[in-house]
Amino acid sequence: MPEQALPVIWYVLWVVLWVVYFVLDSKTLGLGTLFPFLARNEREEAALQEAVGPFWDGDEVWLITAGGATFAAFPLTYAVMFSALYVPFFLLLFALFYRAVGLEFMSKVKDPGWHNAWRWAFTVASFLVILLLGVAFANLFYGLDFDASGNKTTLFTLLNPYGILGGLTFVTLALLSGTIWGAFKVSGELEKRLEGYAHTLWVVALALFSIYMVATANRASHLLANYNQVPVLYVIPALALLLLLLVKPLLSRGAQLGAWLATSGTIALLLVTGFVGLFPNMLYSRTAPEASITAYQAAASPLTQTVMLGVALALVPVVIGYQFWAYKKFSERKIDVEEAKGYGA
Amino acid sequence: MWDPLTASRILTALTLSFHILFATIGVGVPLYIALAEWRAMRIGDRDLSRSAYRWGKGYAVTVALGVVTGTSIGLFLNLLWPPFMALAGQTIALPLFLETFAFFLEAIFLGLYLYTWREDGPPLRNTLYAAVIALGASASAFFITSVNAFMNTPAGARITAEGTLDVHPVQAMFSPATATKTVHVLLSAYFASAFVLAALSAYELRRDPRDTRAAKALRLAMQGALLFGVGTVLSGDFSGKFLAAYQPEKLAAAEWHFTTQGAAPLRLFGLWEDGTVRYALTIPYGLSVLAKGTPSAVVTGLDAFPPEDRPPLVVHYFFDLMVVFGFLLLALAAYYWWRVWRTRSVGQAEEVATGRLPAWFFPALVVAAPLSLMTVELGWYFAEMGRLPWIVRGIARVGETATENPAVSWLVYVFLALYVLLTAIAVRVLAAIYGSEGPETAFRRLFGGLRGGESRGS
Repeated sequence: MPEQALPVIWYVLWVVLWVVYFVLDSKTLGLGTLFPFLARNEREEAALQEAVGPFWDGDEVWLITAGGATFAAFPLTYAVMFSALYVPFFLLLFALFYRAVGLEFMSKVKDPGWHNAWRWAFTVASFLVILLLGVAFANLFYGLDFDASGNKTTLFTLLNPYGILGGLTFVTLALLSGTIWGAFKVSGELEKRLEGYAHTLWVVALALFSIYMVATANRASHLLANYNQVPVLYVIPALALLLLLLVKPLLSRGAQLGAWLATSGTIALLLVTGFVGLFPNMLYSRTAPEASITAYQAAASPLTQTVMLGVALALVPVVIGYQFWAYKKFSERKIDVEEAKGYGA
Repeated sequence: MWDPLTASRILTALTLSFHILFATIGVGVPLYIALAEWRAMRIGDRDLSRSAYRWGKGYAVTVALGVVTGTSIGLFLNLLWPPFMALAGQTIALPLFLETFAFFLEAIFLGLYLYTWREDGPPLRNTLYAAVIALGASASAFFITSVNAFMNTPAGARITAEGTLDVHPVQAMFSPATATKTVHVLLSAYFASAFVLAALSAYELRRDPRDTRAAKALRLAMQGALLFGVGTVLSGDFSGKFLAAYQPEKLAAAEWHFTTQGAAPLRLFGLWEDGTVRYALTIPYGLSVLAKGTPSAVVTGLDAFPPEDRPPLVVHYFFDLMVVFGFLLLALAAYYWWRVWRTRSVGQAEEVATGRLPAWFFPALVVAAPLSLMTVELGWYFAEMGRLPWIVRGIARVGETATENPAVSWLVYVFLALYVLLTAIAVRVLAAIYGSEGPETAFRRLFGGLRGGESRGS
């Protein structure tokens, strides 16, 4: 294997791990954000819980694996990313905690105060997780603020207009993904209501997606270098847009799974668009581009990357296989609102 | 306010102390879920399958908390100990990466198990799902403990002033301490979890002595307690012999063995006053036998190490208490089986539980649950503080590897509050799952009427 191949393979794998996480968790985070507004009674709440309940923890492991892979294969990236993004990461840790506990525990104790508190914890935390991740990744593409002497990124430099726009785009796509997934999973009146939300959200998502793309071309032009060098790559953002446009007709025809897959494709390709533009950088420094960290610089030793690659190639397909199987198993029939198990004690 | 080093140490110790509670239950309980489902399948007993599902619901709660505290540790490694990560990051990355895959197994199959479980469902399916959860849980314990093993007996890399060179991740994962440490951690988690589950059954039997489902569950837990209790003791003995060979300063600190000598006595407890040990129970030749297997063997003492390289003497108490509590728990399990054996003509599990055990045994089992977790904590305190002053033995000291960021200090309070909240939530939720009596009623039910001698309803 040529010497430079390993870091490139790992870069691809790294992107795949993040993309799978975003795609899978977006639906739970989206449903979570809208949770109190979607369900009108406890039965409907239970149905919505059951729509994501069997999956969310398995989905969240992709986030841990993506973090683990960063640490294992690109230790330098991990170290710099952590010092630049440590406030968002701490907030993310807390948000993930309240999301998990809120979803799992809100129905465990029969007490209205308890239920209400954890329901809102679930909602706010779900929103924060996707917003923080969206802002963090938009900033990753946009460029952070660090130079050879160290990190200068703060929470305030992260909250620039481009970062916020990216964050809101990911939030909206997650809401779309969540409502469509919910409609796909449940039946009856709740299903219709979810579809209605999805139609409205689609308009917002399309608008934000378009503005985000225009902003990327104008405000983050360093991302365009790879595209201008290999113009065929422009297919990726184009396909992202095309899939998003397809969501509405698919939804109108009742192809809920198709609409969810199209939404997921948009989320995936939006991230891939950013990563393709970023390559070979992993962390781009906006203020001192020469200090940017590339995949080649950040790579762990070839032996380490080879061993890790063996592990990843052996185990990632197994995990995907089992997860696909689990998803299929739980999608054999729709959740009946009257019979939903939810998360009761 | 503390300096960054002290704050980092407090925060790490705090997080690990909480994490180990949930992790121990998280590693041990799924094994019993799988065993119960397996036996339910073999003998066609739905009671055991019902118990397994009941345990599964509580297990899901501890998993959620184990994930939160575990993720905190992952974050803290980088945030609080950056020089340590720069030094050892590459060598411990493999097991940390593998652990995420073990965790996938656990998470995916826990969802499958809990959501597809039905009383009349196919027993093979329940058993297989539970077995995969147990496999994933034990595998993650193995991987994480191998990181701790590396810190005790580093291998698979050349760590020099210029950095970490020639990293061989697989060798680092299987460092000399990996075998003894992982086996002891796994067995003790199974041992301690048996008492957590036994406490639940004991409480249920105290509430309703005719609860045959609880009686069968208790029997299974006591089987595990005896088997894994013996295993924990044996692996503990191996660990002691391992320390004598590879980390003699740790063993010497644990046993208050100050001077290198043959025919070394074993000291239990005692007080350290003005340079001498007082009030200790001394067993001649004891330490030589325990550490080397022969009464005359020479055991390295603390005098073989410069004072700045010696672990703190307080680990002696952690070690001794761990051993005493461990044997107490094993004695409880042995007592159960002795009563079963003595009344074997009666045979049936449910009758043993209701009538053949004295009334004190049930509250004793309930007390044994926190005791078993405390024993695990003591073991970890010994393991971690016994490695001091090193963070990676012989290579890097704890004091050299902490962050210099002064903001760490207030994080201690933030996370202490978080962990206390977590524990309170866990208690409330578990109480709701396993019977929502108030604490007072529960207390009275457990400890009331003990002077009567026999359990009610027999």
